[in-house]
Amino acid sequence: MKSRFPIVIPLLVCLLVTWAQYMVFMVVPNEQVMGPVQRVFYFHVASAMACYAAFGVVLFASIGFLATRNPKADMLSIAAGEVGFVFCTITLVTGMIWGHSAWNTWFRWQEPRLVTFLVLWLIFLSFAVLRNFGDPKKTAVHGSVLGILGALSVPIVYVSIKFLPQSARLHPEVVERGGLRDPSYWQAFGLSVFALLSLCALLVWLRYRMGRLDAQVSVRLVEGKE
Amino acid sequence: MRKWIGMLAMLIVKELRLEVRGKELSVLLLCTSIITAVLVGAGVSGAVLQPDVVSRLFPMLLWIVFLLSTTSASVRGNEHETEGRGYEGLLLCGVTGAQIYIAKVVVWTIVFALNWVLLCSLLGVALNQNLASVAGGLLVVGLLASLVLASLTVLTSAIAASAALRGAILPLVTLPLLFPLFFAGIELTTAVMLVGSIDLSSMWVGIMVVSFTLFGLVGINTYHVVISE
Repeated sequence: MKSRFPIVIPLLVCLLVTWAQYMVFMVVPNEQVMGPVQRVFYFHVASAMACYAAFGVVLFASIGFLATRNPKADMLSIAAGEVGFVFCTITLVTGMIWGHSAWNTWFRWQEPRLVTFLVLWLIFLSFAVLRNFGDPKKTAVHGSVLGILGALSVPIVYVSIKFLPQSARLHPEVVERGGLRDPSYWQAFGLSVFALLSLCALLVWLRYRMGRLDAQVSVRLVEGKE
Repeated sequence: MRKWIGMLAMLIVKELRLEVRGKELSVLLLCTSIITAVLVGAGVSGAVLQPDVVSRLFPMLLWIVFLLSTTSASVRGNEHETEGRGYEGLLLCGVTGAQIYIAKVVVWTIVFALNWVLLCSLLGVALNQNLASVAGGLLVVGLLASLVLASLTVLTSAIAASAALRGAILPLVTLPLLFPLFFAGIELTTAVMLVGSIDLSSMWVGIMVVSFTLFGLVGINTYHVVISE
């Protein structure tokens, strides 16, 4: 089987990620209050966006699979679920690193975004466990239903935590409040988001191809035995 | 429409009879609830907390025990039908997945609500809380919560029923989706214990209604694909 995947795309994505790293660590000046720890922000927000995008793909691929029973949609849902889980983990870990430095605590239960991401991480985890340890004959259908349930529940989780009584909401709203005044902050931020979204898309695509190749090998093995 | 409702009523009676005959869900719930309530009571007593601290902790402890016991007990909820291919027979007879789902939700809501009453009494005694004056409000909270819980666990227990690691998969799949119910439940229970009655216009009731609608809609539309062989 000939590969039709152009090698230039992974190279371009690697270049983009390296460029983003260079901007974040070498070009952007230290933030006045937080110091060097603020550089986590560029990976943190970009990973969160990549995670949301992956979860959106899981939702639409799951609906697509249940509607059409096309195995390609199921493979796309698996790929996006696994890659989304990785980016969700990165978001949680980088958020905790930043939180420990800013709030002197690793995790704050009163903060809607933190808890929403923890719940999202748990949903992705259950999605991965179900895909690997569920009934093999029904994994695709069950995974799709869970994908839809999980994706639709996330907004309710977010809203419910926002209603909780809290003395102070601590999560910074940098972009919403017009932060990042230095132009280099914006350039590094935009580049990081674009680089990590591209990396996410590439990883989903590669995992999707792996799934398809795996299915083709399985079919060949069955045909060989017959 | 009348035929559809008649079939649904028959399914509800079938589910109730199965539960009365087998008592699997009820007995599992009863045992898990008693064990966890006793453990929580012993733990809180061992921590030597002030009575007002225990009163503030009570709603949270009640909800942890309630969610854990119902989620772990519902593992057995679909096993009869899965092992005996009961769903296949029902679907071949022309029953829809939505009817089976609604019938199960109705019966499980009743069982979960009874468990809520039992848990309130058990934990109330174990943690020395006087709940008699707020019993009405707590019952309404319990009924609402049981509806939301049943609408989700009927679906997730069917997903986990045929998995090898169903004991681990069911809580893992169900509990993250129950976070809104958990927060809403704690807030409503605290409010009921303070005021004595439930405010039905509260946003927490709204969150419970939205959760129930969402889980119900997904369940009604996908239950047939989850249970079909």
